Amino acid sequence: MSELQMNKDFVLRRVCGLNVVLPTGANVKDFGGALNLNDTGALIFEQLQAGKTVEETATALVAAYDVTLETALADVQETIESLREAGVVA
Amino acid sequence: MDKLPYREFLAMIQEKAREADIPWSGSFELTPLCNLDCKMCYVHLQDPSVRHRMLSGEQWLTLIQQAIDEGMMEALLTGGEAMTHPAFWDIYMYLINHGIVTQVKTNGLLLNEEAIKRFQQFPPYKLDISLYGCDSESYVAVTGVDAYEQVVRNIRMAIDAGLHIQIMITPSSYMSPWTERVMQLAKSFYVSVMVNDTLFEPHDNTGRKKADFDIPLEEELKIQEKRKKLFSSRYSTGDHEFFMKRRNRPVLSDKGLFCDAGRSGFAVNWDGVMVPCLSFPRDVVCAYPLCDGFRQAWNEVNEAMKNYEVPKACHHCELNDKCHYCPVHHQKLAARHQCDPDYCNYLKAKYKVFQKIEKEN
Repeated sequence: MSELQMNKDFVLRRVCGLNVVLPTGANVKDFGGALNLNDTGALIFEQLQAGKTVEETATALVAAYDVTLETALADVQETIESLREAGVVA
Repeated sequence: MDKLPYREFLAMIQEKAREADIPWSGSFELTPLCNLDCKMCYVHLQDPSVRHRMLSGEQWLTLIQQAIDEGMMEALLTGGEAMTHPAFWDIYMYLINHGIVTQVKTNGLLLNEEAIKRFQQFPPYKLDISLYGCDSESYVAVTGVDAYEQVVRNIRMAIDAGLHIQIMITPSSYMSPWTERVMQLAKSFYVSVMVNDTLFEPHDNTGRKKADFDIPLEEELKIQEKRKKLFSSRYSTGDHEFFMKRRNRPVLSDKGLFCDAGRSGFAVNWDGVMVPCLSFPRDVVCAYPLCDGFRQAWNEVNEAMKNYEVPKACHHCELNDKCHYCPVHHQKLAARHQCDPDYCNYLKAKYKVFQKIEKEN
């Protein structure tokens, strides 16, 4: 599978039990808000932002949660689509 | 995955942060110096030696990073005139580059074309610009400087640049002859306008006294009536009401105050001392993040505020479902957990007039 192009001008913050993705730098102008992620979404975001591939991210999901690789891959793809819609993934 | 506008996001987090003792909202008073000399300012110092006691950009960035590590999500840069701090842009960009929802308070004098271009590229959540007059004469009377033309030009440029602006008006006896015209001018910009109804006692070292610029209750009520006619709500963006409605807490408790100061918010004064909010009396609580680290300072402030005992008189007061005891308003007596009778009487008189007006309407 192809490598993803993550927009690096976002930061994940974990505060008060929430996982929030906030724009940084020039992204503040166009994004103007915050993304609220669940724990799985936050783990996927972190992996992708660290430059991991979809497969590596899915493997990390399998290690963290009791899911099959097939389910994890589907979750990762779904999250990527949502992040793409939000402009976090190019 | 929900995308939330900043306001919804901040509202979602405010109660959670308070419950978890997280310092999510910080105010940074970068400098007590200013390029204006407002006669009602509670901060502004003129002694040039202050410059040597101010925090450097590096010190502010260290504190800000420690605050972020403890959970800070939103920040206010203020002063004096925050934009006169030599490291203002370094500090501002540090916040923006760390995803902090950032607000700046300014008198608008340094909001030139270059500054606006930078803000346009990296916009603050909100830019609060104080408007002190409606012409040169009123500006000189209030601020000691004929800055009218420049400030109005800068406000117009900032609005044209699409920045999120709020105009702040602080009526005082020095503005009295022009207050209504200042409000009319503010309205003509078609942006949010806030008319302050609270004047603070200046810090001791400013040499100013509230009695010298205070306005009588009758005049204040007239201003607030005019404000109601001109602007739809107390805070014309409705932000204040929006956040207040989402506060889920008792108005009066045996221990702890209603407000968020020291519970989920903190302020660092220009000399690096942490207090629950910017004008909070230091004899109630203050802490030293530069020496002890941000975490310890926050813990001290937070503990003091969680355990602050509201004056006994508040429990029997007729206004205790409307008035939240605020140590800032009872400055000299707050450390003894007492009410300042002058302030209480003033509020009671104000409330009675409001009731009367409401009945008449």
